[in-house]
Amino acid sequence: MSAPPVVAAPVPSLGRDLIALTKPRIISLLLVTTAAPMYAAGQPSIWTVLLVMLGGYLMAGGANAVNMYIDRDIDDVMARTRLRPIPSGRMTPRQVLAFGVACAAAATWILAFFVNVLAAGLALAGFYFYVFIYTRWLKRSSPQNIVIGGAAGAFPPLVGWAAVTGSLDIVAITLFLIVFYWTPPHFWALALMKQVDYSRAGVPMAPLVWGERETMNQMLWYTVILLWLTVLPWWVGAFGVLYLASAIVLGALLLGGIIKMMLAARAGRPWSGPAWWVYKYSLLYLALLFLAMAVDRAIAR
Amino acid sequence: MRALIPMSVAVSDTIFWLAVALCAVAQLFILKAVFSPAPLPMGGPAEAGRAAGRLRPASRPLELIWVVLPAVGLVFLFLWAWQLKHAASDARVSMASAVAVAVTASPDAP
Repeated sequence: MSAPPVVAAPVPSLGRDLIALTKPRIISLLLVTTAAPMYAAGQPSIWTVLLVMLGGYLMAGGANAVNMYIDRDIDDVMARTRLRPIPSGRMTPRQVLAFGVACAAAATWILAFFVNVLAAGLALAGFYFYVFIYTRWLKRSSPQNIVIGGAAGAFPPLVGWAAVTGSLDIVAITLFLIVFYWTPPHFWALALMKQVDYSRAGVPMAPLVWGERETMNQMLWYTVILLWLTVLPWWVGAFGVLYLASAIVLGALLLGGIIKMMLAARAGRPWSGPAWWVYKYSLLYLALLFLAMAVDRAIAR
Repeated sequence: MRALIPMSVAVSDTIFWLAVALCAVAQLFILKAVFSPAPLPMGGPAEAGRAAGRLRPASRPLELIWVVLPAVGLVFLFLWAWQLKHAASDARVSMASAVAVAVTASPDAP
């Protein structure tokens, strides 16, 4: 019998740390919610799409890096953030701040120079919203932190739409509100499971302020509004039957997952499994919903 | 904007108002959380944090604003959608009437 393979821990390097500062896993979903609206809004060239992706990555990555600079005190306290470049001592706070600001500046230039000023302005607004309204103000003061802060994550569809059309219309605003109302059920599912971490860091996430049961109720109500918002673009005639069917099926699964979690909690059964499912599925939900928009429009053309 | 499923205006309007009513109910329950913070069903670290007074929202009026603001956005969006949909329906009706008038006014019309 051969010996089991030894898996080496990744060696920290500056390049790896810089990438880690941008939180690439989170940004991948933001890029889907940027690119899909571009194809729903029109027929962009591949260069426009690539430039918007690059600008979007740098802007969101810059915001994430500045977020790590501001949150460096609590990152050291929470288990899931303790290995980030600042708390682990691999980078200084000033280096991280400089990197974040440089990324945002480069993104603004790329979007304004090669795409259009509206797209650049919206992306920059998302950056400021995330850094100042969410991280600086609401994150440590209100259980509504991720509700209002969710607006920062809702800017990418506006950027994608504006990059192609040069303007915003009702569909773009609806996409913004879809991401806005999707954010609470998604993040509260995570917050329900990470209460110890958030409590230790003194971050007033909903489960710590309202309790678990009320947080689950709130997840349900936000999802009810989300489902109608996802149907609204079909109702106004922007998307077709393929999109409508996708929105209904995907939304029903999300609603079902939340109800399953609530029923488990009410019956006194373990609910962390269903909560984890809601968290993971909500990521897939948003990506598939936005892909359905793009495919629906491509078929209609 | 395209019309994709043939649907009468009455059915379309009913769907809209049912959905709006459901959203209004949901928004009221969202608002309720600001006024009646629920007790924690299970003790543990969360309770310890609350006891220390760290995990309470800063101010109730501000919390109220954070809840009302998105609701205002929703009202604005629903009004916009309603106007857009009915402007499109009215335009189609006007177009159909104009075609009918043109047909009856033509010399070959019966």
